[in-house]
Amino acid sequence: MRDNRQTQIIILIAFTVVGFALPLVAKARFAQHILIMVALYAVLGEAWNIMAGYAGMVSIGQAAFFGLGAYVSSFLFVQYSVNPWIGFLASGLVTAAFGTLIGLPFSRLRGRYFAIGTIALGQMIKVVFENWQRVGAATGLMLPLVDEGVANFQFHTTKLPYYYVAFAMLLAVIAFMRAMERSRMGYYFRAIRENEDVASGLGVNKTAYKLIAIAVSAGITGMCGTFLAQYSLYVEPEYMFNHTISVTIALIPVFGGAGSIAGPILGSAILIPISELTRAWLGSGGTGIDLMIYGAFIVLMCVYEPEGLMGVVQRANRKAIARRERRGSTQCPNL
Amino acid sequence: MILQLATGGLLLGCIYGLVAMGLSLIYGVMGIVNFAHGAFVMLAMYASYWLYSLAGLDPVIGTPLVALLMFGFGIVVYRSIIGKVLRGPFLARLLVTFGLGIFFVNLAQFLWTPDYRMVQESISHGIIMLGPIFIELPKLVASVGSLVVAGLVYWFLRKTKTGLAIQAISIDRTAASLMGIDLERLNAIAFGLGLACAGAAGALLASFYYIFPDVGTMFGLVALVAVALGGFGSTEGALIGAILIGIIETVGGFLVGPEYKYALIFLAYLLIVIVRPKGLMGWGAD
Repeated sequence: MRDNRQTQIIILIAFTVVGFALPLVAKARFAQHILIMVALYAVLGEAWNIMAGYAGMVSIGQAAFFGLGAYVSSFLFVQYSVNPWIGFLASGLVTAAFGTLIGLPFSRLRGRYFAIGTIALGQMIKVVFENWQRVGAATGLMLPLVDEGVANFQFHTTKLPYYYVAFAMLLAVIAFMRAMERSRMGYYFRAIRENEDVASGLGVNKTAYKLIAIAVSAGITGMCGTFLAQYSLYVEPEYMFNHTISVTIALIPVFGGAGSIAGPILGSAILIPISELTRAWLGSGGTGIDLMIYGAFIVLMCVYEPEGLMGVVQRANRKAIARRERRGSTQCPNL
Repeated sequence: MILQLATGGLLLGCIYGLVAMGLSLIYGVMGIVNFAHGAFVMLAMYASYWLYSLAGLDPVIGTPLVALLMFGFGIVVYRSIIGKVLRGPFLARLLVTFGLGIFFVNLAQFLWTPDYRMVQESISHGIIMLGPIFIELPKLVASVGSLVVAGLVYWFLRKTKTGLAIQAISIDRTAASLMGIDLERLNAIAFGLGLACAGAAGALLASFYYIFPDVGTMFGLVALVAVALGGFGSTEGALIGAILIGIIETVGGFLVGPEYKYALIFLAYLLIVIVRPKGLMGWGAD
């Protein structure tokens, strides 16, 4: 047990070091863009994971929170020149509050009714923002350029600081998830996922814990929205509330392995570069071939590795342990 | 005016109903929520477009052919993909059809560009007057056609041995297989049948609707909402839900504004499932 914990900490330290060093090696602007997106979607995947992977509420409408967060900070910045960092926190709070509000009726829904409900939510909020004149309707908002620097959350000459912000967010989320996994709350979430009737029969206040899961997930997702708004310096409904964002956010943890901390990171590290690279190499002119490959990848994954990449890792681990226990064999190609 | 709008909604609802029926059938038999259903409608629309422009076959007349093609295609998709995921975990079952949908929509975009296409001279065109109500003939033909196909599928499910076996599976899979029903074969047939419904609807739509790679997405989502509204596992519920949606879309779109019509559909879904978490006529476990 102690051994296991030490390995985890070593992995975490190694991950942090590699994460900090990567953009210093990959200096090309496009490479750094991919790294930023990988980190951002890893955070988004973890946020989805809290709600779906742990507490069992599968959301295919995360773009609702994402876009709302992007709009909160951008609106405050454009209209009232509120510092984006305050906007960053505000969007976390507003989306968490919105998530709680939505969660009140949604926590009654189960399984696929919940999932379809989140799709409905994502589509509805997009329509609302497309027609809301105060926030620029379909054209959205342009964020004015200000002096670059940490204080203003805008960087023009290099993408590097954006990466470190995203990476810091990822580390914070990992720390949160680790604490959650060990806490009472983490056990309650999993109990609700496995069987909510039994869980509530045993005294878990399932509505309260469902609301917490939705609120936390929504809040983190909203802050990611602010990050993308600061990164691209514009928000528009078609971009921020896109259904593809919702689908991608759900696919990444599933691909990596839902219900584990490493899953979304693995999933993002593989899926995002594939999608960005195919788009850059093949997608110019909107031929759709990039997303075609993406779709095929998802189907193949569901058919051949339905437990996600973490399933592969765990299987390899089990094999390695079994082999170590047998001790005899000298050929360990996987180790 | 309201009567005019309600008629339009009813006609639209019948087409939605056929799409939703296929979705409901697939769900009832194998528990798969087919998120790619709209993409299959889109493929059927392109199939009838190409049959029209290359072979001169009118979309309405070509409907049975397209439905048959989609049936065969459904069997192939089931055998190669869906059947293999059925025993997998919940998330794989939920997301595999997402992957299929993304794949086919973008395949269409890759092969046929995102341009809008249209069947120029379908045999059903013009407007007829029914008392004070205008009815566009292509829509009337499409919705009557949808009802006919839906009726045929219904008859098949209720009166033939294969159909009864499919129903037996959706009621109790284990008992059905103990009675000697070949699950794999019937799953494949049910999936093919579901796609045939989408195919027929697509062909009928192709006679008057624009055709582009993303056209099916909204149909798929609306059908999904219709099925959930009616209650998963209830074929009649799906049809009722679809007609309700058609009417909400046209009447609500007129009253509130056309840009809000889909938002209204989703709002209606949310309100109904919040009151009745298993839809209007749903039953059983989720």
